[in-house]
Amino acid sequence: MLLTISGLRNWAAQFYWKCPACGYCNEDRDIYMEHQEKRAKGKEVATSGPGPDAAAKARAEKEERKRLKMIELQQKGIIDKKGASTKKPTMSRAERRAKQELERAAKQATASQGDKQKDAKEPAHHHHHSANAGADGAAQQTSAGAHHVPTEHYTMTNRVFQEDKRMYLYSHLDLPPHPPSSVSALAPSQVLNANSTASAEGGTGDAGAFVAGIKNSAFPPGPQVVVGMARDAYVAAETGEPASVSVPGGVGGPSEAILRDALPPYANGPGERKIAKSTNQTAGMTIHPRIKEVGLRMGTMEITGANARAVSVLAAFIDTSLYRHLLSYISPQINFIVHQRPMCVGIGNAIRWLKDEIMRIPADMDEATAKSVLITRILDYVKERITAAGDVIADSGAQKIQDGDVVLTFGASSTVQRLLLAAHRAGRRFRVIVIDSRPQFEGRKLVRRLVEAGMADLSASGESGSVPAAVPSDLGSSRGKGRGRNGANGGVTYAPITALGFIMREASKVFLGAEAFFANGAMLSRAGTAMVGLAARSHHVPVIVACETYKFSERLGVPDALVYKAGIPDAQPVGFGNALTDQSLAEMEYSAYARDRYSARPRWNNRKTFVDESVSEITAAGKQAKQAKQAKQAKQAKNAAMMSPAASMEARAESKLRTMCPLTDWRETKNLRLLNLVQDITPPDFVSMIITEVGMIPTTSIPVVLREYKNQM
Amino acid sequence: MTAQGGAFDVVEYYHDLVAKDPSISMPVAAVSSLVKVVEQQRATTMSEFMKIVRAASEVLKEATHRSISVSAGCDVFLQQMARLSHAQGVEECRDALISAGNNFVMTAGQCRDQVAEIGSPFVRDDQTILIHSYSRVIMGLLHRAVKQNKRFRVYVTESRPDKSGLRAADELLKLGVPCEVVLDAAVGYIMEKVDLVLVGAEGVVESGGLINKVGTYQLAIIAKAAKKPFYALAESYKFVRLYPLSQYDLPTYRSDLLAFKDSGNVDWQTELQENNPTLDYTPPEYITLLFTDLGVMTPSGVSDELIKFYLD
Repeated sequence: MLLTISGLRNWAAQFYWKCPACGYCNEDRDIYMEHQEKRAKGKEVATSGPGPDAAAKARAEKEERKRLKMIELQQKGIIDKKGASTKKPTMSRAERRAKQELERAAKQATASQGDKQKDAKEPAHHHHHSANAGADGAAQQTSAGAHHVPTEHYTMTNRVFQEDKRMYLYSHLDLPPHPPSSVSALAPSQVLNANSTASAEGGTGDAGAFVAGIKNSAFPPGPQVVVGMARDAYVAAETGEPASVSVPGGVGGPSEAILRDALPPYANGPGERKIAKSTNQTAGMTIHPRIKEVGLRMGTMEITGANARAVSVLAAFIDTSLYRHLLSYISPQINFIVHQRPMCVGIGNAIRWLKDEIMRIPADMDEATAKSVLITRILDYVKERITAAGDVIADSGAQKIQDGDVVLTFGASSTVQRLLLAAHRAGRRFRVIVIDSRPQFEGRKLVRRLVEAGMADLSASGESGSVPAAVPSDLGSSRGKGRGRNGANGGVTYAPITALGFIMREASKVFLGAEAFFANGAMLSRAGTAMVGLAARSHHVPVIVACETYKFSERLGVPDALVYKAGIPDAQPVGFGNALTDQSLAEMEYSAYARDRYSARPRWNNRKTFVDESVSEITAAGKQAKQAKQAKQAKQAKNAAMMSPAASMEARAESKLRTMCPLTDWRETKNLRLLNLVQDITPPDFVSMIITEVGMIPTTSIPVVLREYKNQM
Repeated sequence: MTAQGGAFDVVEYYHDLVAKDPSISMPVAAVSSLVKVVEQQRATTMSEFMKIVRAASEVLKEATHRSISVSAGCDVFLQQMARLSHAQGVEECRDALISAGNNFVMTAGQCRDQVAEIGSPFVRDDQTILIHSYSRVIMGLLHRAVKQNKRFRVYVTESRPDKSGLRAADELLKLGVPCEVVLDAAVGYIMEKVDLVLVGAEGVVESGGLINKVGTYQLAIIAKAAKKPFYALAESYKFVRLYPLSQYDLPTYRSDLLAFKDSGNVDWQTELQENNPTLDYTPPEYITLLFTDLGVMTPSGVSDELIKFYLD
C-alpha cells in the first residue's frame, strides 16, 4: 500500500464510511449517490413544489429567522441595535474581502450576507446557506439555548482538498428548515462538515467541491498539511469491489435518506461540557476541528475497531498543525477524544509514542522541518505498526487455515477480514462462520465482504483454479484432518451469538480480533468475545487471535475495573423487536453511547423513550404519563406535517420506536439497571495463539515482546 | 565447482554425517552440512551468498521430509547468517559464519551433558520412571543419575512402529538399571506405579509444546490424568519456530496417513509400518517442566527464548 497522507486517509476511510442506504456496508456509494440526488430533488419539491407562493413563504421564513438571529445576537451583546459589531474587527477590510471572496468561490453561490456583522475574531465564520443558524463560536457560551441543537447533516463525503487556499473553511452546513425557537448558538464542534445537498440547493455544479476545515486563530495556516477527503478517495479505496449488492428493503425516499445521513451533532453530552470548562477556557485552547471530528465519530461509534480508531487519531494529528510546544497543546486534544470514547490501548500507545517523538526533536530544529519530520514519523509508525503489521499478520495467519477448515469468527475485525481474504486468495478451501452480536452488528459487513469475495460457494464458482470443484476425497469425510473439517466447499454462515453453543461444534478454528492484550495475557475485545472463547475452549477448538503488537499493554487486565472504567454509560435500553431489520430505524440503533446520541436530538432524549406500555400502565402515574404522551405524540405528528420532511420523518421514527421498544421508562423504575458492555476481557487460557507481526506467540509471551521490542518501538 | 555449489551435494553430505556418527543429533548434522555449503560456495555478493545458503537449507529440509529437527538446525544457522550479514561484506560474513557454525557443532555435544546435569536432581532414589522410546538425551540423564549412585527402576514403552524402546531397555540393562518394556497400549495400566515421566523431543515449538515420537501425546494425557509429573528433555537447538494448533498442523503432515481402506487385500502389518504417523504434538498444558541446557523452564519460557533468539 502506498503510504501517503491521502493513502492513509483512504485506508482509514474504508472503516468509517457508512453506507447511508443500509447503515453497515461500505460499498454502496452508487446507491448513496442516488440517494443524494433523490434527496436534492425531494428538497426541491418540498420547497418549490407549491410554486411561487411557497418561495415567498420561504423568503419570509428566512427573514424571520434572520430577525430572530439578530435579536439573539443583540441579547448576547455581540452586536448593537443597529447591527454593527460591538467588537472591533481585527481583520483589515482587504483581508475580510479576500476571505469573503474565498468563501464565495468555495460555494459558488452568493452567500447570505446576514451574519456579516459578526465579530471577525470569532473562529467560525460560516455563512450558512440557509442562514438559520449562525455559528458564532459560542462553545463556551453555554448560556441561553445551549441545549437546543438543530439537526445537522454530517457526512464525510463532501470534503475536498483545496491546496491553494491553504486554510480550512467550513461551508455549506446543510440545515433543514427548523422552527426558529430551536435556532441558537451553534458550537464550532457542530460546525464540522458540509453536506452536498446544500450545494445542490445552491445550484452549484460540483457537488464534491467543498472545503474542509476552519480558519481559526488558534490554528494558524502555516505550512500545515491539509488534506481533505474527496469522494474520489472512497472510490479509490474501494476499487475492485464494485458496489453491486442490493439492499434488502430497498432504498427509501429522500426524507429517509436525510434521516440516515444525519449524524446527530454532539451537543450537551458530558464530555463536551467538561472539555469546554476544563480546557477551552482555562488553558485558552480550543480543540482542533479535525480532532473534534474524529472524537465525535468515535463517540458515536461511527469509527469503530481499534485499528481504524488509532489510524484516524494519528491522521487527525497529522492534520492538526504539529509543532513543538505541542506537548501542552496535545493534552486537551487527547482529553477531548478520551471523553468522546474511552481511549483504547492502541491509541494510548500511539500517543505515548508520539509524545516521545515530539520530545526527541532537537530544540534547534526549525518548526517547518520539525513538522515534516513528525509527519514522516507518524506515517512510518502507522505503516510499521499497523498497516504493514496487518499485512504480515494476514499472510502468516492465512497459513494457519487449511483446506477443509471451518473458521469461526466473531464480529468484524479488520485484521481477521484481511486474513480470511488472504487465505481465500491463496486458494484455501474453507468455510467461515460469522458470529454476530448487538449493538453494532459489524458481522454483517464481514459477511458481505466474504460473500463478495466468492467464499460462500467454492464448488459452484470453481474459482480456486487448479483445485477441482468436487470435494477432494480425504477432505469431505471424517478421516480428513480432524474434527469438524467439512468446509472444503466453502460457505459463509451468519449466526447470532445465541447460536454459539450449537455452532461451535462445527468449527475447527476460531479467529478473533483484539482491541488490546494485557501483560498477563488477558485480551480486551468486543463484548461477547469471552463467551466465544469459553465456548471454543469447552469444545476444544483452538482460538487464534490476530493482533498487532502496538496493542499490547504493560498493564494487567483485571476484568471488573477495566470494563467499567471504559466509561460505559450506566445503561442501555435493549431490544428493538424487529427494528433491527427495519431500514428506517437502522440509524437509530442504540449504541453504548446512545445517551449522548439521543440527547443530541431535541425530542429523542432517552429519558422519555423506550416505554413498555404494558408495564407502565400498571400504575396510575404510568397511565397518566401514557395519556400525556399520546397527546404529545398527536401534537407532534400534527406539527410534523408542517415541519420539514426530515422533522416529520424524525417524528414518525420516534413514534415507531416507542411502539416497538419493550423497555419501560427504566430510569424511573427504582433499582432497575441495564448493563451494556462494549468490551469484555477474555482470560488468557482461552487464547491458544496470538498472531502478531513478530510471529506467533502464546499469551504468556506478551511481556517478552513488550520487553524485547521496547527499544525498537 | 560452480558458484551454485552444484557439485557439492548437501543432502549426501548430511546423510554421510549421520551414517558416520549415529550419536550426532540431526540439527547438528544439518548445521555441519550448511557450514560445508558456506565453505564450498564462491559467491561474490552478499545477496548471492545468502541465496545459496537459503537454497541449500531448503533442499536439505525437503530431502529430510521437512523433519522438525533438521528444520530447527537450518533455522538457527539462517538466523545466525541474517545477523552476521547486517554489517559485513561477503568474505567477513563467510568466515564469521563458518566459525560460528563450527562453534555451534562443537558446543552442541555439551548441550546434552548440560541437560543431564540440570535434570538429574529430579531423579531420586527408589523412584519408578517411565520413559518413552529411545532418546539420547534421556539416556544421558539416566546415565548421569546412575553415576550419582541413584537407584531407580525404569519402564520403557515399546514405542511402535520402530520398537525403539527395546533398544533403550537394552542400554539400561547394560547400565544395571532394573527395566521393563511396556506395551504402548499399557501405558494407562502402568501409570499408577510411576513417579515421573521423561520424554525427549524432536522439536520444541513456540507454544512450549513438544513434537516427539508418536505416543508422547497420549502418555502426556495419561500422566496429567494421573497427576504425575511429565518432564521433557531437549537441547535448546531443538527449539523451533513453529506453532502447531493440532496434530494435523505439523510440517510433516501427509494426507495419506491413516487413510481409510475400503476394499482389496491389505497387508495390515505394512499398513501399520508405513501409513501411520511417526510423530505427534503434545500441547504445552500437559508438560510440567522442560529440562534444557538453558535451565529448567516452564513451557512458556520456550517462547521467551525463541523470541529473544529470533529478534533481529
